[in-house]
Amino acid sequence: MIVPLDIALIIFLVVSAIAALFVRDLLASIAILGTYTFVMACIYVQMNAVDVGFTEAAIGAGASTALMVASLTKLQRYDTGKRKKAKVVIGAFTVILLAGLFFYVIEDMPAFGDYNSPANKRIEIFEVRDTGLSEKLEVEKLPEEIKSRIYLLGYNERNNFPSLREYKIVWNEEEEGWDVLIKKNETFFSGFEKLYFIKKEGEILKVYRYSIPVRWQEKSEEEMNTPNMVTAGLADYRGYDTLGETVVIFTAAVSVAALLRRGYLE
Amino acid sequence: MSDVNVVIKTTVRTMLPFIQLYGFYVMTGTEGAGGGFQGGVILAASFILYGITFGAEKGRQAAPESWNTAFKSFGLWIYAGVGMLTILYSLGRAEFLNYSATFLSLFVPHTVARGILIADVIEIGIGMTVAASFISLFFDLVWRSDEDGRS
Repeated sequence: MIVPLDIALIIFLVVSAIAALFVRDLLASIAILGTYTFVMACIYVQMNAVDVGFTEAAIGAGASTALMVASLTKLQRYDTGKRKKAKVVIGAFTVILLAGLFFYVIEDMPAFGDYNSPANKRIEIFEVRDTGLSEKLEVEKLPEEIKSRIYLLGYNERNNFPSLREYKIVWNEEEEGWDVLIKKNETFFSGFEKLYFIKKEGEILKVYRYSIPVRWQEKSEEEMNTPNMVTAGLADYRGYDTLGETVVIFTAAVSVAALLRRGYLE
Repeated sequence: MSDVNVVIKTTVRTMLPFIQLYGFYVMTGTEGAGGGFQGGVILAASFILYGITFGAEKGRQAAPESWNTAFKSFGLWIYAGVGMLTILYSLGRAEFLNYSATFLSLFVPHTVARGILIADVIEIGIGMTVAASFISLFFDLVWRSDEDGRS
């Protein structure tokens, strides 16, 4: 990330967003929105999200600008409506309130691109006092206290989580903790998958649960034979979601056709 | 014919095959960025460019509405059809969209079959639907109907 470039891009983004609001010529407004989405694409590429930037450039700056210009052929080119002052004041107040809320929330967010943030790595679920528990872990046995605590928290078979009946404990050299591997109930990738992580800090044992992206990062190339993680994840791990998105696009095209094509196919 | 747009028309006519080739490249590759959505939109953009340059009538001749309708259903059908195939092959074990469970796994290792299905079947299905949808959206919007309401 290059900080001065980032700042310049964000200033350009804000200026173009404000300009698009205040221009009376709708065609100019659409053109400014096109530059807005293009700058947004540049920012995404700056953040190393190449796929998102690509999508933004293709769909935002390309297709949706063309569609907006196309819909302008059925509308007036100039916006002749009068702006009411009360509405502007209420709108500005809402926007400032929303921005304030964002700044309030931003404090709790993990640092940008943090590999070890809970969403990317693992989340702490509880901690217990180490009363001889770590010796049991050394001989690859999961202590009963931790087991029942995990069960009581709701990570059990009744809620469709994998059960702790079959497990393995492996010492993780890099992280200096124990990985708890659980038997997967999958037809094609049977075997053990790491799910919990236990770390000793002084007198306290902290129990973590690995997040979903861990498997995505470590196993996706091996499981799907595709080097691009994003494509693999979107089409495979999140296949239902992508099928739904395709249905959404299809439905949008069909409904626009139903609205606009009156008597076209008589 | 005093054609002032001859530069634009020649440029577009020369560029079109390359844009479409790039669209297919983006659509099917798994090594680089992109996927079905982006490739489909690039493919649609080539037809939209053609429609802008040569007029909506000629554009609709190049991408006929019957083809658009067929393609946008067919792409979705490919995607959902792979899901049905997995259910059939896994004999009702409810492996919907688990790409390992198709007949391809008989010939190659199932991880390789998974990669092939993702890269070359699913993405082309998505791309078909997206491209046909965007083309028909654009031409529906620019189409001028005459007085008696016929498009």
